[in-house]
Amino acid sequence: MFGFGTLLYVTLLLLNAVAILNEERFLARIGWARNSAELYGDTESVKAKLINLISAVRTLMRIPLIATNVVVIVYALVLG
Amino acid sequence: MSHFQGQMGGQPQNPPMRGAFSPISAEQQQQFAYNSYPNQQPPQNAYSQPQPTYPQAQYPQQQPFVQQPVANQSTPYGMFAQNLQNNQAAQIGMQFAGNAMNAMQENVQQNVERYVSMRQLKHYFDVSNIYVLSKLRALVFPWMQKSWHRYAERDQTGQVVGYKSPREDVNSPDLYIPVMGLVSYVIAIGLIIGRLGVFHPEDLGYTASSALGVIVFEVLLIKMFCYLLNVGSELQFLDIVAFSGYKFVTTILVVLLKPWAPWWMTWSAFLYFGFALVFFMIRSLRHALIPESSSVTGVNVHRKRRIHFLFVIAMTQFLYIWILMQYKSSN
Repeated sequence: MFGFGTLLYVTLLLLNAVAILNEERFLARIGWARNSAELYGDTESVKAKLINLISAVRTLMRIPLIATNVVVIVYALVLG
Repeated sequence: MSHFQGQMGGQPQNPPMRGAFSPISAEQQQQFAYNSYPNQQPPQNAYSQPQPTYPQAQYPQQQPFVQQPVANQSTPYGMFAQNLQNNQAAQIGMQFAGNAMNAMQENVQQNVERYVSMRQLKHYFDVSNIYVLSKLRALVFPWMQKSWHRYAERDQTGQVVGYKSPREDVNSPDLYIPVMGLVSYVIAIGLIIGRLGVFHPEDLGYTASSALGVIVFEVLLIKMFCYLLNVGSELQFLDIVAFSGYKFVTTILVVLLKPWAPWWMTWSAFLYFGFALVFFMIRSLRHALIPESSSVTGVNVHRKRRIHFLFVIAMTQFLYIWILMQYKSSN
């Protein structure tokens, strides 16, 4: 039940969820925007690192995520 | 036939080892297997056995049939071996194949070296018997361990280079016990399912995949928290894998009890070994995660957060052991 394939699916879904967070409509509203003033001095707090992590995932992983999603969708359609 | 037996002694002549990863091609195997019997007749004894169809099967085994040589006229392989030794072009071809094999092996080594440092891996597998026994005792009876301090390795100038290898330092994490633990866990689950009568061979694969999934999940979680809490080089990636793999030792002990012991015994063993593992993890990771206050200057440490983090790592071991204890039972 907790196999490796399930783990891959779960991480793919979670990465998708992080990737589709909208910068201006959502993250800015709750104060997690990337360029807000409070972050300039302090790069080591947990919140700053979390924001960096989220923005890194969104920047770097969009295109590989598209490719991986297409592969997984085709796989799920063909093989059930 | 005395000359015949004195020559060989019943063992196949081994081809020279070119490193652990180079497969011997089929022709070379045959050449070395038949090398000591260049021109002999097959003995007419009662131990005649048919020649194998695939030559790869001959190499690691010392079967009695190799005593009978492949003669020139008995099988097609005999003529092939003859031609190999007499033919110059074939010899050159085989040398070329050997060189190509070596070049490929070096190429693979370099590529692998970029992703996984072999020297570091060897450091983690450098264990001795005493180390393994002490570590197992520390996992199962952690209160008996006197000191949890890890010794630092120093180079010639006295600088701290890393940590001492497991052979010299009982508290250094290794990867031998986790790997063995994983394999033993898969076999133990297979054993239990087999005794219950519902075994299918693919269950071994499912179990291995599940165990690997638990380890990967835990390592990823710890790595992410380490990034968030600025835990840098004190806790290496392979250290995390090693500490994550130590739980298999206690899991095997509990999971072997589960089908055959009364439920209270299983759960009390679960609690005891779970707390033992928690104690082990806390004591082992304390030096890495929570620096002593004298050695920290100018770095934002968040001591309380790290203590919470350590506690969370330790307590989730219960969850992982519980996950690993689930197997398909008879319905």
